[in-house]
Amino acid sequence: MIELQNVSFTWPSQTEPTLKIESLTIAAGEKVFIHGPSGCGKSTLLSLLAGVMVPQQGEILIDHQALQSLSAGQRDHFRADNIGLVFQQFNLLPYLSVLDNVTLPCQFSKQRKLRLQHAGTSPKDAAQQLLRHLDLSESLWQKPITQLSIGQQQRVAVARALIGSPPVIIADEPTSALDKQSRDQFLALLTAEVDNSQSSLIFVSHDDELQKHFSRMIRLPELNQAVLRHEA
Amino acid sequence: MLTLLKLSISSLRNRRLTVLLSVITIAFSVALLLGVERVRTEARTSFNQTISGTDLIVGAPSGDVQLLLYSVFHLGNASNNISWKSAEQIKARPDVAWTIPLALGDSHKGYRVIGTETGYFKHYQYGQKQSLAFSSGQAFSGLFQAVIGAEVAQKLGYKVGDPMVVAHGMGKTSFKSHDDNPFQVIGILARTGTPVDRSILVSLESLEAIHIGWGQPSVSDLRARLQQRQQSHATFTEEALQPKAITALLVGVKSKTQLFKVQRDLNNQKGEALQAVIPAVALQQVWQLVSVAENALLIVAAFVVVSALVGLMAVILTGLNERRREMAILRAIGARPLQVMSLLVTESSVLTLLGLGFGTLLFYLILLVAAPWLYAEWGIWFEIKTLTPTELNLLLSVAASGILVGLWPGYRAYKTSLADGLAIRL
Repeated sequence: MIELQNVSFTWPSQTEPTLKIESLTIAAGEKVFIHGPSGCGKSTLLSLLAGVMVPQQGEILIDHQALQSLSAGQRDHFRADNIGLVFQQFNLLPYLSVLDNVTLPCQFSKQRKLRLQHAGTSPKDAAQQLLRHLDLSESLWQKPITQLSIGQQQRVAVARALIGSPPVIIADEPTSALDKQSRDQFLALLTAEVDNSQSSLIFVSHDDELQKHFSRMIRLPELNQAVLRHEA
Repeated sequence: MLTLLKLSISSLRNRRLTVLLSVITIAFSVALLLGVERVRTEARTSFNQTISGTDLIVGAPSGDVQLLLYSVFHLGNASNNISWKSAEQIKARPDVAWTIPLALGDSHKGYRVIGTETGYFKHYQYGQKQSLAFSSGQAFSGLFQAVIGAEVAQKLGYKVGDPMVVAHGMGKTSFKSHDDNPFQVIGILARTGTPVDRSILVSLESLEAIHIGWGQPSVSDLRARLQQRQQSHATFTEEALQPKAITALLVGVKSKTQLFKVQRDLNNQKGEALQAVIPAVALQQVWQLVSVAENALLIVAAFVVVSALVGLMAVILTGLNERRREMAILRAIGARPLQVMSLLVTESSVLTLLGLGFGTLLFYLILLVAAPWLYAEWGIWFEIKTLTPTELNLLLSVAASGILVGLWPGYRAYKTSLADGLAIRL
């Protein structure tokens, strides 16, 4: 579960806050589509949710843990344990194989490893299962990343975000580089796997069309009071 | 930590060409550094061990260092001789225990022929006061017998009993050969690691004998000379064979307390001007001369290492910008900025260590190949032995610098990964 209360964030070089959210709650297992054009505080919101930055005011709770009460190092740990991230593009380390990319978060997070242990599996087995579910055939697993198509790379990134079932998955425009067909396929696989691991999904995109895959849509310019005030 | 090591190694493997070049640069510089240090110390030991037990070297006045170099190390030529009479006078002094005359100037296939007395084998000492030993045969006792050093025997393939011909002057292609009076190898000395190994020792009388009739060489003399030689061969009289002059005299005193008095007497004596030097003192002067060059070489080698490390830093820094994406990915996965930083420090450390490893290997390889040549050319024997504490210290400081080199790019990565956060920039 994710909760934001009276959150306000101002970049160090600015006087006006970039992001101001009175209240936002995302339930466990919920899949939320956040829609917003560029410049409405999208990346700021994601950075706050991922714990890379902390708001000057208000609080952000993820699974009842207040992020601002953690030190920077603790937040890095927290992120490793609880949040899976998928970026727009270039998600993978070019010098690791597909399989090694997927298992990498388990090296940084004890929690993910433990959860896999409880589920009676190993990082390698879990990675293989995820890759299979995401329609990535075994012949690709040992290949260097550069030989994969962008659609395949994005699915590998999903597998990496999901390994060890972190409670929160954040996807930042993961389909913007894909054509329409692979975009729909990607979303179908993503939502199915997120359901499988019972994680919450926060999916950010400027593409309205994608909202049909989600149970709830939030328009960020409406939610972010900083934007409203600017425009008024 | 292990994860980071594995990550940086995979990352390095992915950039193997640039990485390989950096490692090679470091390896070469390390090999150079070790080489300079090794040559420096080994040359010193080798020189220091060449002569021991000799209290004074007496020769014609020149310089202390020059006298030492030509008489003991066979480097350069004597400017002048000393008369046999002076040599006899010195030997007769009550405070002198023994003398070894040395007559230089002839050669055999590039090796020096030294005219001396059998006392050479008794009194000459090298290393830690070790005396010469025969590996086969014995000391010369008559005319035209030669004792040869270990290397001469090995290189020229001589055994006891083999004949050899002595030529005047140095060089392998001396045009004036005394080939009418061939010598016979009578003894072979055990290896000493000193210029003795490259010497051919004959009696002073033998040297006189082959020079009889040579006098002033001139082409018009040839026929007369031939006749003269035919006569003289059969009739070497003792007087004719009496040496007229020698190049230098090694002196051992009876008591060390008299050493300076003997030296002073000889330097100040009336009659023939002589110079007496104490080998250790002259060697000290050699080191003073050489140390400037030594230090310059070491500094140059150190700078080569520094430039290799700066090159390494440049390689890592250049890579940094294109790897911002990689840093962001690692941060997203939960890597702390400090871990991102240590990734780069690990990288430079791994490369430096590889460079050190290969450099040391290269150093030994070069040593292995060059040792025989250095020995043949300079008479310095390089034993293949483990790294000395000084060399290990040098390697350690290179390793430490390698880690330091990673700190700067590491700090840059730390800053950017803090500032970039999860923003993936190209």
